[in-house]
Amino acid sequence: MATETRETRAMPETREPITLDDARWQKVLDATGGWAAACYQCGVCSGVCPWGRVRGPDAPPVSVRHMVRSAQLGLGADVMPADAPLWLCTTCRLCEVRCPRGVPVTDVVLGLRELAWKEPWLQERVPPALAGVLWDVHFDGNPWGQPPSRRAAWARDLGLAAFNPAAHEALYYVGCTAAYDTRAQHVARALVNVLQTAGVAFGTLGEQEPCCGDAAHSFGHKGYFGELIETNTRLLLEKAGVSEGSKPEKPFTLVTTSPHCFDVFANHYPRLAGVFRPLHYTQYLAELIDSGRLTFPTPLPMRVTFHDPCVLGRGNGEYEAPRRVLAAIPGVDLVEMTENREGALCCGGGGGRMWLETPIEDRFGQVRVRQADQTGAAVLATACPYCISCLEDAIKIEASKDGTPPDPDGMKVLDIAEVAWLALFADQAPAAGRERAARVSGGAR
Amino acid sequence: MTATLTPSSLPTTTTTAHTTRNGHVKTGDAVLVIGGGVAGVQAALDLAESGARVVLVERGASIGGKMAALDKNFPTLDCSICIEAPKLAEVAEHPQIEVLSNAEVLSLEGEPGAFRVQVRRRGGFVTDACTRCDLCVAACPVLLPSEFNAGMASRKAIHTPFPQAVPAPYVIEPEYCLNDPPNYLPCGRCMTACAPDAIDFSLPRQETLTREIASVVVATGYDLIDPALLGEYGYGKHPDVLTAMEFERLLTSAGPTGGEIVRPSDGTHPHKIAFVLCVGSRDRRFYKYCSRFCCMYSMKHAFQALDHGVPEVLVLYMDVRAYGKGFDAFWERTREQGARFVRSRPAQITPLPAEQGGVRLRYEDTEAGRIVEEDADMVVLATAVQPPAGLADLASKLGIALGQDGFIGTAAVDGPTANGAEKAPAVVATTRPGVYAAGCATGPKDIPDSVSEASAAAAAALTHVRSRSWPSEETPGAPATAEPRIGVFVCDCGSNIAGTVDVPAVTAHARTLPGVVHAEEVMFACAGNTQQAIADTIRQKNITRLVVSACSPKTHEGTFRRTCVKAGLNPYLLEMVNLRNHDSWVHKGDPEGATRKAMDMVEMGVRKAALLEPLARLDQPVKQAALVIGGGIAGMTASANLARQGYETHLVERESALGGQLRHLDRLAPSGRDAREMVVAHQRDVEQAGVVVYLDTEVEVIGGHVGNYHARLSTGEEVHVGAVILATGAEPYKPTEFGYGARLNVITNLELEALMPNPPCDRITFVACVGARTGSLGCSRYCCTSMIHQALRLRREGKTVRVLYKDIRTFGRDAEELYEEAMRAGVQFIRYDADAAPADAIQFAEGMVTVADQLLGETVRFPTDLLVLVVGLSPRPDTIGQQLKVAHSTDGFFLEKHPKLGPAEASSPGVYLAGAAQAPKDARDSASQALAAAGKAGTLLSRDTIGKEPLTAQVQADKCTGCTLCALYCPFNAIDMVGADGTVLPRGVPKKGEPRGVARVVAAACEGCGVCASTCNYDAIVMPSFTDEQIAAQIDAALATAPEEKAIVFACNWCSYAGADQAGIEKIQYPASARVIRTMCSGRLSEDFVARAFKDGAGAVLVTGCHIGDCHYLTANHQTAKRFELWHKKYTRQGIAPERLQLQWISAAEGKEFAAKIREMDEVVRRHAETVSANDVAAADPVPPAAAVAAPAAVEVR
Repeated sequence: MATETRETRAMPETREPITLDDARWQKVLDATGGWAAACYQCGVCSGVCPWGRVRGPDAPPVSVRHMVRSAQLGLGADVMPADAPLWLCTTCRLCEVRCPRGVPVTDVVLGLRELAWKEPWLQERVPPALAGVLWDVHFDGNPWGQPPSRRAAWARDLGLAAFNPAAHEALYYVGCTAAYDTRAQHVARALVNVLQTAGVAFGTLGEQEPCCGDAAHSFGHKGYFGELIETNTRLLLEKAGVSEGSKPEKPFTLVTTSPHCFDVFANHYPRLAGVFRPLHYTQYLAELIDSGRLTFPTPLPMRVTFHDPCVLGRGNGEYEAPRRVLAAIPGVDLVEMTENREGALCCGGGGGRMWLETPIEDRFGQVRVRQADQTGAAVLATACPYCISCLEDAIKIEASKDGTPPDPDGMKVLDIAEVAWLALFADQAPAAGRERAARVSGGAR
Repeated sequence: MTATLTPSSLPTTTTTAHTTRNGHVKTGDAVLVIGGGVAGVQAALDLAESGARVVLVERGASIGGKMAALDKNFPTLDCSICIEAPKLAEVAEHPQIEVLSNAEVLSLEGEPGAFRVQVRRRGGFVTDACTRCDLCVAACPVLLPSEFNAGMASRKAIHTPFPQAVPAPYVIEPEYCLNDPPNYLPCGRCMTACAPDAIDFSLPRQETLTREIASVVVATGYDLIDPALLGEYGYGKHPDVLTAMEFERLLTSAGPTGGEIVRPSDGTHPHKIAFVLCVGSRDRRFYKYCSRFCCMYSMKHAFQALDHGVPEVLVLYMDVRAYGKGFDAFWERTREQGARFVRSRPAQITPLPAEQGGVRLRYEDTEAGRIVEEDADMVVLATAVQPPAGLADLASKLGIALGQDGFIGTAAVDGPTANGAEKAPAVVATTRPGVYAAGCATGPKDIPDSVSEASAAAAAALTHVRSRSWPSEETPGAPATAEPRIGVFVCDCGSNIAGTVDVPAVTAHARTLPGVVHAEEVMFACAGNTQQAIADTIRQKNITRLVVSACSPKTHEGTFRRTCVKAGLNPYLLEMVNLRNHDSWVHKGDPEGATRKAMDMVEMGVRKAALLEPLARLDQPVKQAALVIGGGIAGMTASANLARQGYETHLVERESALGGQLRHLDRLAPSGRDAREMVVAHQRDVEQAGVVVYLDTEVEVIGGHVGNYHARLSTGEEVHVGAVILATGAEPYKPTEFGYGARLNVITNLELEALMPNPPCDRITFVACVGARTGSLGCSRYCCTSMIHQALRLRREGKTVRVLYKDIRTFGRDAEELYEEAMRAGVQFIRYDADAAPADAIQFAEGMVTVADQLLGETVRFPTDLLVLVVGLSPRPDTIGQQLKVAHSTDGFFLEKHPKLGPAEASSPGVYLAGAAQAPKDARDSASQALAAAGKAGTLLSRDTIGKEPLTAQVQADKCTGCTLCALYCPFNAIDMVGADGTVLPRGVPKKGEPRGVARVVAAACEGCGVCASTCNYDAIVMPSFTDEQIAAQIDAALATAPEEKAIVFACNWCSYAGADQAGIEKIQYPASARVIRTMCSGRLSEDFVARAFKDGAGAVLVTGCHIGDCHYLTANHQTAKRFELWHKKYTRQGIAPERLQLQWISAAEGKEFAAKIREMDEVVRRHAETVSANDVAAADPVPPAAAVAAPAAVEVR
């Protein structure tokens, strides 16, 4: 039978011997917590890396293993190709779940990025766009370069209260993307409506809401991320009305729109432990459903497939909460893509990639929407603003490939919050939403 | 004839119950062995042979374990069941061993020497009346997947686990049987089919048994991980993704496809097979440890796939762990054969579209840095070894602890502890005194390591056995009348024989034969009442020779020998005629031919029987003392154990202190134990055990044979012992590379031990495989783990440590975990070119090491203060082994008796091997093998005499001319040339003027192959039960009528005869023209036999035997091969058509091959018969054409 072999060369031609530098190596060892050293170079990571799915046979392959090998020897710029996995990595952790040695590859990548900001031998220059993003966070409090004064503009008509520890059970942390991105604002608005329906007493920080620091974290800028943690911790403690070191009787629930903000609050703000209980909103909705506070009386006939955001799923082990929300809505028919949960393919937007240009042919999102399309679902649901952005782009690109305008009845990308909102408010949706709802429900295949 | 064959001198062998030397009263004399795989079987046999009673508990229906399901063994490629089945039969027949199959241990109470165990046994519903005829299976309507065939074939609810299954041939599983709720349907088809009424559904379903025992050996084996847990490999989702065990069954000629490699999805022959290693092993998600033997069996599979004609074979590996003797050489062979080895672990295996078939593998070739998508027709997963299901439960019932890896924990890793409190040999001791573990119960192990540990555990378990006994073996002597009065019993075997062969006609024919005084048809010869009837008839009719025409001597000779003994007849006056396996089962469509053949076969048996002589088991005195040569860890362990068993033990060490290599070490790997402290502990152990130690002493001269060895020491002292253990160790390689010796910053890993843990330098680089994996030397096995242990300790002292390696071979228990720990701690590992010598791949100059990193794809250099050469072990120059006639392997180390099943024994009986003298190994494996050697030696020494089958060669001194050829060709060096004064002459052909001696067979050393007899040009050597006259009589009988239509087939007892039996078991049909004559070895065949066959007019002669390398008698079949070539040339020259004389190697599993060969020979015979009849016509013609007179029958016989 025919045998196909697709191979591409990775390594530069052998040059002069490279001298290993023990001091540099020690720095890498420290920065990666010793984890890079544990790798025995089997290559599974390179084999599962989504980059291998999009890179054509002529492009240089993205070898995660080779990057780790360089790190094991304290090497950087001398052997790492300019287009190294170091900055391509979306920190999706797909390789981590398969790694036989249990190497947390994402932590290794972030450790190396941290070094790359200060050690030119590791990387002559960090992708220039990224420094600008951090300046935006510094000056504007958000990585999108939007004016701080407009942070609460999305909710002007919603009558949201400022978080009051005496009156509220939850603090809704909107996050920079949901606050400024017009598509993501729909998600935030939908979520607010859903929370209100469930009778949740909550508030927001309004214009005072700071950037959680996920961008700095995912760029590996440990120093600036630390600064943000420091100032944000103080602000949040103050908002909670507790002094450093003391705790309220019962921690306030901190609900985030984005799994990235949730991840950062849950895993990198040790001093908030006991004061706030960070939850991704899907987890919170699942709790509300479990306690009977949130119910969906009207059926929403719709075939849905769910795309697991990497940070929520592999990053924090939460695969079931979003599915429980969908399962609570009568009429919703959840169909899984072949790659789901631990094996879910990344949208391509994590690890700082939202701020870096990715050629159209290299975007994972397109592979993912094809997988979603194969399920026959009318809606590709997800629970992360980055995923929404990448997947919607991918649908547009896919549709425009053959030059025809997008099919109005084609598959739509919706956030879980939006699906929940539709189930509750389909009949009174605002124009854009109503139109979308009509199309979606009418287009259920 | 020599004296032993004369009737008056026949001794009777009686061994009575025997109190041990320490005089204890009998309390516990039995040992419980849990698990009937190869380790449990070996432990049971060793124990029983040493006089202990054994209770062998097996969870399944048959003993044999995983080994029984394997096709071939690595690296020798010998047939697995061929070498295991004799051991299984031995267990089944052994009067000292009680086999409880379908049984599980419920509880263990008491203490060492006085345990009480409760065992629950499930009923099997088949009684001992069963004759293994298989008709019940044909009748059973319930189809189930066959576990033995890894689910790739079907079986019935009544089934035999595998053809050689022991003890219960058939089992019924009530959960599937239609007679049983919830399936209840009155079925009973098997009962109806069973002629001897061996099926009884009223037998108890389950019973609880209690046994008093002295100690326990746990040999529970292993399970394999379900690869469906690794979703990314698609097992269970795609039929062409197989486990290695499934592939193993595909390779077996007795397997579901008859040995054809076919793709399960569509039955086509795969063009390309990919083998994936470490599936679930070395993987934190499943098992962190290395499963130890998968590299080698995958290599074997790759080799076999290529051998079966699969053009493309890909092996994806991470480190090739070819750590054993001959393993590296086998890897090399596999690569030369064309297997492609790529260093990688695949990420994903996905099915290709159904119309295309096969799968796509996605992986990174880590040495080329390429991400590859490659298609294959079939993928074979080397699945991880895991603790067997229920092991934790069993452990809690036995009160023993498990290790972190889930296998049984051992007390301490390397040997006795310093305070001497613990006498238990720790390598096999569990956490409960009196309970020992062996084989895969304590982690993955290959067959030789398991067997070695089983013998070690048996030796340890024996120390609790306070009384030993052997069953009495009274052998009747010669019959009252020497006149042959032959009794023939022809068995119907229900319809198995009688359904095809006209048994009454055959019986009638038997009656006409000379010497036959009684001939009788019986329905089931082996049934208990029939055996009694046969014994009565023997007595009544004064029968002096018994011919049983029934089934194979391989399965039933023991049974009918016992019948003889019962009737007061010498058991060697029995001849079996194999009508079932060789005739009725294989000629079902030709009842007339089968009947004619049966008549010939019975006649052959009768004619041979007339010439049989009574024989007595040979008894050789045994000097109950042992000599252990070499006082390292192996010698100390072995001698202390032997002394504790109660034998006078001499330990000779040429240095001034005991300890060997260990004396120069600081710590042991991977346990981290203090080596000096352990040496002291061992020294004390040796002393307390009462070993006679000779320091600064060497063995100068040694000679003798099993049971009686004499050694002269350099001190002038003489020792007389029954057994010798060679524990002479190995020599660390002395490097010449990297300026070693001339540069202070280049040392060996052994020298580093003196500097541990803090040598005065900061940057240390290890170079692995210096003086190993080169030339004839393979892997040195100890070094990777030891080196990593050193590296980790140095790293913990804050050093910069780098390791340059080819493959990391941390295969032992806790070793892979240590490797991971070392990496995690920051030891840098750099892989250098595995095909290059270290000195070619690595440069060390001006304090800088330069090496091409195979995984980075770049050459790197780095400063190094100290270069540590990790040296391999080489064989020591040897004089003692030569004197003891112990053979050497190609690598120069001592050759073990069998690479799989005899790892601690030398080829010379009574000589045992321990430690690195046999092959490089670490302290733990050396201690384990030393215990095994001590156990084996103890078995020999446990009795005052050794008895053996009297099939040994006999010299007729008056005919011997002293030519020395027999001594030269004897594979066991069992023939001495003895001068007129009775002294043994030096070896070699005497020169002119030198005295010529007379050959003398050392019966104790002779194994009975008969190479000597066939070598002797003067007919001076007789092989009892296979004499020239007896074989000639069989040839004449076979060819008495229509000789040109028959082929004479010579078959050896161990392989090809068993192969012919296998053809019967599988009911593979072939023509009835062959007449099989059995000898113990094909080496027995002399030219006279071939000549006689052709003189008698045989249509063809086929010589068969074990495959080269599989010979039961070491190299005896090499003689067959050599001689056959000469015969073939000679007879071809004399006008015999070349095809009429053929040689074919056939293993015990190759029933199909046997049948195919006989079909081929039948064609030969037909062609020849046509020529003969043409000649007959021509001869009738008054003027024959000249050309037609090339008479093949006119062969001149020497």
